[in-house]
Formats: sequence, C-alpha cells, structure tokens
Amino acid sequence: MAEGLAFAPQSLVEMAADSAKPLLRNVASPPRRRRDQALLRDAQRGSTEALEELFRRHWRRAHRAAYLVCGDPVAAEDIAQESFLAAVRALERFDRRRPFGPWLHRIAVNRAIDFARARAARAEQGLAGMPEAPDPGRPRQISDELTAALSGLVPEHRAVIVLRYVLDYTPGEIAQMLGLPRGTVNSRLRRGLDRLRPAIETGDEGPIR
Amino acid sequence: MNKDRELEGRLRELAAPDEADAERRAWTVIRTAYARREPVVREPRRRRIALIAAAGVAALAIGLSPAGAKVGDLVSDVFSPEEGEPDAKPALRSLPAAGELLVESEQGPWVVREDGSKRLLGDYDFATWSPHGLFVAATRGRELLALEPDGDPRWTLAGRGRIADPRWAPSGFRIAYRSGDDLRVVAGDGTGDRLLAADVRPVAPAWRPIGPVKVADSSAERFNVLTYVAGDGEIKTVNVDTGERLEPTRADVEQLSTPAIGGATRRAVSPDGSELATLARVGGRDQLVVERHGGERRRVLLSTRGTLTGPSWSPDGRWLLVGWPAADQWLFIPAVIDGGASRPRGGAEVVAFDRISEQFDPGTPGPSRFPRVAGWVLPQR
Repeated sequence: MAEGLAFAPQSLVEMAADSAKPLLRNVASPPRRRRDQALLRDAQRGSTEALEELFRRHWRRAHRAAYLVCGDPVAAEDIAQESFLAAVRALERFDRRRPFGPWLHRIAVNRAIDFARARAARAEQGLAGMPEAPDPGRPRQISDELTAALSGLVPEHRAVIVLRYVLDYTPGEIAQMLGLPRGTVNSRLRRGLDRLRPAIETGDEGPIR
Repeated sequence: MNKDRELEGRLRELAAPDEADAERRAWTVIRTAYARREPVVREPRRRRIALIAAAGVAALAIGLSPAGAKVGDLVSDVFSPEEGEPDAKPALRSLPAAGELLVESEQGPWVVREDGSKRLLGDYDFATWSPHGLFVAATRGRELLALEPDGDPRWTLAGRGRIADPRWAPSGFRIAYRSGDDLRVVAGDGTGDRLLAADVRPVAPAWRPIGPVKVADSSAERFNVLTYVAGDGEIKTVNVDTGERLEPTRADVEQLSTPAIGGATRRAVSPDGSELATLARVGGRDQLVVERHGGERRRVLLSTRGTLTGPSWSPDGRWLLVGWPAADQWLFIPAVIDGGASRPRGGAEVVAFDRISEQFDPGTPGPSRFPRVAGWVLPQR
C-alpha cells in the first residue's frame, strides 16, 4: 500500500544507477585471499594476525568514509577507531555468516552522519569542521574542489554518495545499510552527482593535478 | 554520461588526510584493546529458563483463575524494582522480532533497527511512524515534518500554533495533528492541510484501524476514521474525508490515550486488532495485562512494584515491549502463550536490556529522561 506521498517516478534513475555497478569491485582482490569469515573465526580464537589482516583490509575505507561524511579529520579517525573497537568488543558474539565489511562501514558511516548532524545542530560548523582550504601556494587539486563540494551536501546525501562511489556498495546494499527505501537512495545519488558535477568542470581554470 | 563516469572516478580517488599515520595510531589502540579483552562467558541458561517457566505458569494460572494477585507476586519476586531483571544485557544489541523502533528521547527521536543499531533523527518532538514505516512524522515548534527514516526532511508544514500529537492514518494518506487548540488534517504528501475541529482537548487523536482490506472493499467509511476529544469533553468519531459523524466504538475509545479509563493508564492494540495490552496500576503494582476485546482470555504477563511504561507490540504480535524506568531497562515480553504448555510459544524468553537512558542520551552528564517507545513497525521498503 502507498504511504500517500507523491513521488516522482524513479524507474529511469534506478536503471541508470543499477547499470553503473562498479567494474573494479573484485579486480583489486588478491588471489587466494583468505575470506573474512576465516579471519573472524581465527580472531575469535585469539589470533592477533587474523585481526590485523581484518583491520588492514577494512580500516582505511572506514576511515575514508567517515572523513568524507563528517568532514572532520580528527573526528573521522575517532569514529573509525571506535567502530573497529566496537567490532573487537563484539567479536565473540559476531555472527560469521554476516559480512564484516558492510557491518563495519555501516557503523562508521552512521556515526559520521550523527556527528555531522549534531555539529550542524549546535551551529558549530566553523573552520575546524570544514575541509581544509587549498593552500594558495600549491597547485589547486581537483580533489579539493570535490571534497568541498561534497561538504556542501547534507550528511545523509553525502553518506549515500560515499557508500556508492568510495566504498562501491550497490544502491540495494546502501538502502539496507541506511534503512532507506531504494528509490530514496537512487534519487539521492542522482541529485548528489548533479550537485557535484560542477566541481570537476572547473578544470580549465587552473593547474589541476 | 561521460562526466558522470569521470566524476565517479574522481570520487573513488578521494582520501582522508594523514591516512597512513591514522591507520598506525588506530592499530596500536585496537591491538591493545584486543589483547585486553575478556573472553565472553556464556550466561548460565538454567536460571533464566526457570524464570520464564515461572512466568508462563503464572500467566496461565491467571488466565484460568481470578486469583491473579498471588501469581503476580510470583512474577514480581523475580523482577525486583530496585535491581531490575538480573540477566539484562548491558546494552541494546538487537530486537527479538523483525522491525524498527521509533524512540523519543531527550535528544530527539531515534530509529532503532533490528540489529540494535540506532539513528538520531534530529531535534524533533512527537515522532510517529507512517503505517508502513517508510516515513516519520514529527514536530518542531510550529512545524510539522515528514522525515525519511534517517532524518532527512521530505516535507515541512508551518502551523499557526504549536504543533503536537501527529498521528498517521493506517491508510497512509492522512495525518491528523493538533495545532494550538485546533485539530487539523493534512494529506500524507503535505498537501491539503485543513481544519477538522476547533477547540479540542489536548489529547492525541486516534485513527480507527482498518484491518485486513479485501480487494473489492471500497467502502469509504472504513478508511480515515478519526476519534478525538472535543473541547467540551465529548468523544467524537468522524470520517475525515466525508465529514460523516460516526458512533465511537469501544475500540475507538480505547485507542485514545486518555488517562485513567477504567483504572488503566496505558494501552496498545495488537497489530491484528484482536488483543489489547494494558499497563494497569493494581494495588500499588504495575501489571502488564493482555486480553481480547471484551475481556476474554485475560492474562497478566508481568507485575512489578516499579512503574512500567509502554506497552508496544512487535509487528508480528508476538512480543510486548515495556520500559522500566526505575531499573533503567527495557523488557521484551513474549505475548503469546501456548494453551497447554508452561512456556511461551516457540520457547521465547523474556529479553531485557540495561542502561537504556544513557544509550539514548549519549554524552549528557547526569540522569536522562527515560526514553519512550513511539512505535514498532516492520518497514515495507
């Protein structure tokens, strides 16, 4: 049954978003890599090496996602660290049938959203919370423009963009992770890309890396 | 499209500052925490099973006998109001049934997912689910908002007075709310806002459940029927689409959260509309009572000396969630009892979670207001 909200048709957006599944999803995986489940099992049995491999495998993406969503490097480090600590604390109870990466990334991204939202609510969004302004002495980098444009989106929309294009989750997976209707994810992706596009269209104005 | 591809590629190249050093620092912390962690010792099950069996026997005995107080004592002996449920888990980890909770706290409404993860929606009041869990209606001063489940506003409506008690109709197509002394109705997409009644009592209006709908059933009187308390105290029931006045049924009245009807203060109708759960103050105790409409098959599921809050039904109708502020706990009570067995159907057990206030008001020093469960739905996303 409908909820009574008038939505624009999403079918074209959904088709476009679904057809854009990342091509490199499995390319980066080294051959014969141990599965997360095996590492989790060994970590549950006390293997620091297994835990470290899990950490190396998932930390950087969690940290990156937290930073791009919350926009604060110090908070992002804390958020990613706390998320992994939560995993360590829950290690014995963790259901190995569940994929570890999405679980960790969902915690990190949700905490980053909460941080960004709380900061916005307190109207504390000063210089400390913004991405660094480019040093006028160094060549302007397109990543500066893009990071700044990303920070112009609301945290919830940022999270969808980051999960899709930085962490390579599908719209369906993102909908699951954030508890959103899939159509909402797709519409946020579409609107987010539209908002971000100008950031890469300034390439003729200066020396871009 | 090429620009999109280029943009997506650029997004994949974004990085956090100081990634390598941050990783090194984090690994030091995590390795230390891992080395210091205490192995989890599985809780002995025997005591819990004995407790549940006692509760099951109690419920059955009360169902069969009017002498419920004695059995109620048996249950309350186990649940001490000072200490709460002794086997409570230290934090909310997961819900015992499918669905998502909407919880109101000092900081605003939260959505709690089945796996225990939760999201603060923002600085809003009076949060309420849409019937299929796709949206949350909430207020902020003189604003009524429809929010995505992650807190992103879908639409906003400005009122003349302070807005309170929004209630989303079971059809999903109407929201009733109070604005100052007025009762108003707006469509689910935020359009067609209109006055329904002026000068009403400050009581949350209640929609009549529509129950299972047959495909051929198009009778308008089943849908969007609202009950409210007029300024003179009269309880009125009206079809908000046709304007037709209807006779309030007992079920309509039971839906209203009016205080002290028949000694009961808090009540909730089961998802299928067949049963009523009530928190009643009886002889200085709070009892969680479930019965069919008309008082049939009455059973007391819990009795404590401490005050309880709620109750809320799980979407599958198999669990009841009550709050226990004195113990700072939530209790999930199996609501379905096998006819001839001494255990809840399916072997379900009471599930308790501790330190609830702190979890919904993190970072605040001192005591927090005990969070209120505003609904438990199974989102149909």
